[in-house]
Amino acid sequence: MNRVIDFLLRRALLLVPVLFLISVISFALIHLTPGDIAENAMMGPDGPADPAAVAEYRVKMGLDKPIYIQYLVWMDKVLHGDLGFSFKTTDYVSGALFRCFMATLKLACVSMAISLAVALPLGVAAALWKGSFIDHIARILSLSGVAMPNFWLGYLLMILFGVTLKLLPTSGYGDGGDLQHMVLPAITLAAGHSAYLMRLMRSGMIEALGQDYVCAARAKGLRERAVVFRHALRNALIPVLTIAGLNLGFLLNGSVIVETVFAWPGIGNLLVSSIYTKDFPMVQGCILVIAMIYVTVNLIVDISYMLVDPRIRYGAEI
Amino acid sequence: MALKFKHPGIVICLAVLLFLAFLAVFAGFIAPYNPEKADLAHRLQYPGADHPFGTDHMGRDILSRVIYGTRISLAIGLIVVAVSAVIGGTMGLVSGYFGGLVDEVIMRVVDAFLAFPGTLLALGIAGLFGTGFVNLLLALVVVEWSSFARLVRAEVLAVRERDFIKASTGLGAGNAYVMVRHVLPNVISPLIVIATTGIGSVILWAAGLSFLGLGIQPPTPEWGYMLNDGRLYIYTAPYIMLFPGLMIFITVLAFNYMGDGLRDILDPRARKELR
Repeated sequence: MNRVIDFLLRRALLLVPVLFLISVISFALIHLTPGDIAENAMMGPDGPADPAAVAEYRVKMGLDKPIYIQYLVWMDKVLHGDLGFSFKTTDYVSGALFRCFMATLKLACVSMAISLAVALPLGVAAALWKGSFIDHIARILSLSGVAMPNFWLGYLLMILFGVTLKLLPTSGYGDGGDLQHMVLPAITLAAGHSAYLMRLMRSGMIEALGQDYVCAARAKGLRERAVVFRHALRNALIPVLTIAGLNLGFLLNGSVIVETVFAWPGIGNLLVSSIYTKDFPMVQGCILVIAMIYVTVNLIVDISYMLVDPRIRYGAEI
Repeated sequence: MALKFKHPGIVICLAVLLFLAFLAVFAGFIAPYNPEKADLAHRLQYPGADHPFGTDHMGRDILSRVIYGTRISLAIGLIVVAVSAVIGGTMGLVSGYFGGLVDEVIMRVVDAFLAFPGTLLALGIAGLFGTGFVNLLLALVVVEWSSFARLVRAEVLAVRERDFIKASTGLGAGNAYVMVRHVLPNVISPLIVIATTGIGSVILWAAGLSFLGLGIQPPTPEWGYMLNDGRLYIYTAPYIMLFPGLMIFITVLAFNYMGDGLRDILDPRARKELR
C-alpha cells in the first residue's frame, strides 16, 4: 500500500512544475507577441490610439512594472478567478470561457458516446476472431481513423449530409446546440478517438482471453458465450472504460479544429477566433484553462488506471 | 523476398511513399500548370479534360497544386522529425546514460512538455509569433522532441547495464565514445520506428495548422491551406475539398502503416497490440 501512496504523491507532485510551466507559457505569450501590449490593447478600428491614452493604460494595467511583479500580480488575479477583459468585446474572459466550455463539453459527451458505441463491439469482435476478415477491417478502420484529417472528414460529411442530401444543417449551434446541429461535429470528433479506443479494446480483450481465469472458466465447462462476456469482457472493459470516460483531453485537442469547421461556439473555436482577432487576454485565458483541464484529466486517468489495474508497474516508470 | 510475403502492406506503403517522393522531387516536370498562377477566366471549373482535378476560386489548377503540395508536406515532416529526433535523442541519450541528477532534471522538463497539450503549444507559437514556414517548423519541433527523448532514454536504460558496455568502459573508453559507438547503435531501430510514425503525425498537424490559417501562407500550394480555400465553395464547388484531403490521408496512412510494419520487422519482441 505504501507504494501506491508513494506513486500517487510522486504523480501529484509532478503536477506542480507542469502547472507552473503552463502559467509561465500563458503569461509569456502575451508578452512575447510582436508589438507593445498597451498599444495592441488600445488599437481601435481607426488605427493606433493617442500616445497619452496608451501611456495612461500602461500605468493603469501595471505594465510599467518589472516583469516578475507583473507575473505575480497576474497569478494572484488568476487564482481569484479573474482572467481580465477581452480586448475586443470588453467581456469578462472568465465568463466567455465558461459559456464556451459548456458547449465544448456537450459536444465531447455526445462524441464520446458515439466512439464507445463503435469502438467496443468492433474491438471485441476483432479480438475474438483475431486474424479474420473482421479483424482486418477493424485494423484498416482504426489506421484510417488515426490518419484521417478531421478537418477533411468534417467537410466530407458536411458536403454529403448537409449540401447534397440536405438532411442535416451544415454548421452552427442552432437552438442552444440541438441534436441536429450536433450530429456531424460529434461524428467527426469521434473518428480519431474511436480508432484509438478500438485498438485499446482489442488488445485488452486479447490479453484477457489469454488469462488463467478464462482458461479455468472454459475448463469447468462454461459455454463460450459466458466465458467471453461474463469473464473476459468484464475484466477487459474496466481499463478501457476508465480511459475512455476520462479521456477528455484527447477530445479537447480535436475540438480546436472540429469546432472551427462546424462553427460550434466552443472553447476551441473561441481560441482560434481570438488568435485571428489578436484578442490576447482571451487567447491567454483559453490556453490556461484548456491546459489545466488537460493536465488534471491526465492525472486522474493515470491514477485511476493504476488503481483499476494494480499490475501497472507503478513506481518503476512514471 | 520473405519481406514481401510476410508484410505485403509494407511493400505497398513503400511504393506509395516512393511515388510521393517522386512527385515532390519532379513536381516541376510533372505538374501540367504553374501552381501559383491565377487564371480568373477559368475559375471554379469542374474536373475535366483540361484540368483533371478542376480549378479553384482563382482558376489555379488543383492537380498541379496537389503535386506541388507533396513537396512542402514531405519537407515539413522530414525536417521536423529529423530535428526533433536529434534534439530529443541527444537529451534521452544523455539522460539515460548518466542518470542521477542530470536524468532527473531532463526528465522533469520532458514530462512537463509531454503533459502540455500539443495542439495548444503549436497554436500558441504559430498564432502569436506569426505564421510562416520557420515558425511552423519551430512549433512542431517544440511539440515533437519530448516523445523522442522519453523513448530513447527508456531504451538507453535497458542497454546501459549490458556486458559489452561494461567491457568497453573497462577497456578505458570515454563516455562519449561509449555513447556513440555502443549505446546509439542499439537504440537506433526503435528510433526509426517512431520517427516513421512521427512523420505521419507531423504532416497531419502541419496541415491542420495551415488549414486554420496559422501555418504555410498562400500562395504556396499546401494541402491544408487548399482545404481552407475550398471551405467557402462547398455548395458550388465541393470537388475542391476532395483531392488535397485525400493526399493528406494517403500520406499519413502510408507513414503510420510503415511505422507499424517496421516495428514488427525491427523489434519482434514489441507487442504491438499493446499500444
